[in-house]
Amino acid sequence: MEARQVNDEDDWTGFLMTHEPEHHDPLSDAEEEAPLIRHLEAYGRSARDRTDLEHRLYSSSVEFLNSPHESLPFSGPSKAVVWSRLALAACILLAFAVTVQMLLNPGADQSSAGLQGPSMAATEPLGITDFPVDLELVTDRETVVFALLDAGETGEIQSVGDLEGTDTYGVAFAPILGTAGFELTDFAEEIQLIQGSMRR
Amino acid sequence: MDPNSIDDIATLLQRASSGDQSAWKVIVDHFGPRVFGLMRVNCGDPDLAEELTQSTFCTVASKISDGYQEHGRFESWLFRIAMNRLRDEMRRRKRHARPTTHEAMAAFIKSPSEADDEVFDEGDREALVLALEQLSSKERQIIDLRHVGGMSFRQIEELLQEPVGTLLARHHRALRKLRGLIENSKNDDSEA
Repeated sequence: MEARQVNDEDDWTGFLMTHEPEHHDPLSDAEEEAPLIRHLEAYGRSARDRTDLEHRLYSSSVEFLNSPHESLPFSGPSKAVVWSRLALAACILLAFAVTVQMLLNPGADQSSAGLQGPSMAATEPLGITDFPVDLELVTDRETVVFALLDAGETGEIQSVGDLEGTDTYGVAFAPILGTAGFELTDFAEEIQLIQGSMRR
Repeated sequence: MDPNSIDDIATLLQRASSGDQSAWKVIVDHFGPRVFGLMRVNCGDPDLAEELTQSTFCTVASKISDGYQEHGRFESWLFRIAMNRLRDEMRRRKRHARPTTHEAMAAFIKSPSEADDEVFDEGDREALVLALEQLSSKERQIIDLRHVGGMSFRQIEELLQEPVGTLLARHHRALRKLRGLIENSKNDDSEA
């Protein structure tokens, strides 16, 4: 496509209608400048002319249309993925909490055992803080988690697989947790993941 | 669709921003040669000018895809990106962007179109090239923006952020100076 011809008449009219009271500019349309203007236009056409220029410009730039939306380099997981991960992690947390209660206090009343475990853990946070999870021990759920981690460190519990044969809770939650290979360290990573997602 | 119309360019940009490649092609076909010409007369190297023009359009394509809103200033925005790109490149190469030298200009106006032959013979070309070299940088800039870039004075005002009255006077002065230089050149030739 040939570049737009500079049309002094149109251009000036548009300008003068908004900037000047008269619709005629004494500077621009002088007869004596007309040949020079034509020469300058020819000069401009020569400068703009290059074989297949438009095709190359188009080919090199068209791929950038919409590219920002298609290739966000740091776009995180979708909300659905985040929420499903959170829900899964919550299930894991619940399963471990219940299981630990059963393991630590097999013969005790459930309500008293539930209080004993967490309170012990809450009084010994320094022994647990070797683990790089920065949680404040302010709720029962969290103290249960730390008690669980503590149990993992001392070797009382090694994995979910250990729970399956010993109690009904382990069997019940096995489909959620997986039947093997889910170590306590994995659980700790899940906690970190949840914590990181919530901070984001 | 006419890219000179503000309404049409807004429509074209909107379509292009939603991925319409045909709309983008109209924009590139219309503005590409004008940006290229301006680059060319400022750097004197057609290959570098094309490279910079490509870079400019890649930037524009990305930006309009990212939600550019047209308010009748697309052209001055486009040329500002182009001029900034040129300035950055010249800075990187540690030399100033300056109007094309006589030799470089003579090379690209050697073969004008047949239509131009009627108004632009060999002597005219030579005289114009020499006269353009003698303009001040600001005079040369407005001549290039106007007659190579094809910009309106309103767009030049937006681009350079100078009062339009100043630009009009400078353009007029540049034309008068060019005419005088060309006439002197022809007189010298005829006396010789």
